[in-house]
Amino acid sequence: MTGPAEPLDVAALAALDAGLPDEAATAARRRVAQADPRAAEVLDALAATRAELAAEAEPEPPAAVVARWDAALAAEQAARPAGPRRPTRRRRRGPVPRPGLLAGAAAAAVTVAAAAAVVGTVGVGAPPPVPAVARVDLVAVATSTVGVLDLGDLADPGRRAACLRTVLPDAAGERLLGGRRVVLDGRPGVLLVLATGTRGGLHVVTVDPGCGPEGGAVLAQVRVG
Amino acid sequence: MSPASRPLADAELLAAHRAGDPDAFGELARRYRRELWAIAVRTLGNPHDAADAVQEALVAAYRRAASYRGDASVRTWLRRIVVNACIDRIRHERVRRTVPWPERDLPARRADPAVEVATRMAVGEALALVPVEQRIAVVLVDVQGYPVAEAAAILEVPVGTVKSRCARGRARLAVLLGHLREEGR
Repeated sequence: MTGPAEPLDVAALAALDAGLPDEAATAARRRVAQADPRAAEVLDALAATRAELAAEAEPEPPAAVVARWDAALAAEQAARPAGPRRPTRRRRRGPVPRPGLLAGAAAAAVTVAAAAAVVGTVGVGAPPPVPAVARVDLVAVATSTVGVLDLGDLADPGRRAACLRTVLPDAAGERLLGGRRVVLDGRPGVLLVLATGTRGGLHVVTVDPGCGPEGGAVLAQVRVG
Repeated sequence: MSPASRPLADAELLAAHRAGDPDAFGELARRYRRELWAIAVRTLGNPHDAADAVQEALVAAYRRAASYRGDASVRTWLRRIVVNACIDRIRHERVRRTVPWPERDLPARRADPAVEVATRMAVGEALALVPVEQRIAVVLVDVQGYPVAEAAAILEVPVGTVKSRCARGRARLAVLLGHLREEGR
């Protein structure tokens, strides 16, 4: 281990960076790396990579998705044959279920009824209701739309790209973060949340639902960040 | 469901669920759904598949609660189930290919790669290009910030395997994210 040091390649340096193969070997390799500016550069790159990965903001599940999960679990609960075991002793204690339990059961039942079409058809359920949106609320709605994909006909990437190319060429290259059908100030539309390419930057565009290769209308647009 | 003085521990909630408490599993899901979503969306690269994977995982955990043996924490057990749901989707090619996040929806032109790699989406795109086992290891350790030992417990592989997968994944990502040129320098 004390002879002439051979340069470490990227794979070896990545292993070193990860603490492989063991402490003794890692220590020896670190000595080699410290003497080699190129190796130090690679280690810096790996550190920058780890830092960038660690800086990722934790994504929030969209409310519609959470509602779907809740509905799925409520359906499981409803399908449970009067409880797989006996009901808990606490629940049998009195003639009336405790308020918390009652509320939970009622909520579950409502959720099941409301989302029955969703459960059992994971990912292809009935579209969520179309929210009415005022122009001043666009940014707030956009924030909660990231990760939502209720795009109507614009779910077709080709159609969506053609729409944007036609009506808003500067947005045609921006990537979609989410979208939903809306009624904007009384007019049906599809709100698209697009990544501008800068950290935290959003381009919020609302187009008419029929937008496509033949054109369409931009109902509203705003850039954030 | 729970005494007013303290929230039930995860294992207690799972036990209550097994005993028939209708609210217990929902509470457990509420505790961890955000985290499970993060794992899934980062592993699968698009929200539709992530939503499906988490739903499958939650339903599977709900049904399999009786098989939980306590050899790992409930949290680790849930993480494992969602990771396996993601792997299952990827291996069976159930990941959508027409949703907007993957490569085919990328813009054809990128004026400034330096700006591009600085965006959150660039990380997601880069992760999607890393082999799945490496990607999951990197997601768990580097993005989620779990200790290597926890990642090993989730994946049910030795610690050294997680480190190795992370090493290879990071080397690839370093290039994809623009921190390192191909073949080193």
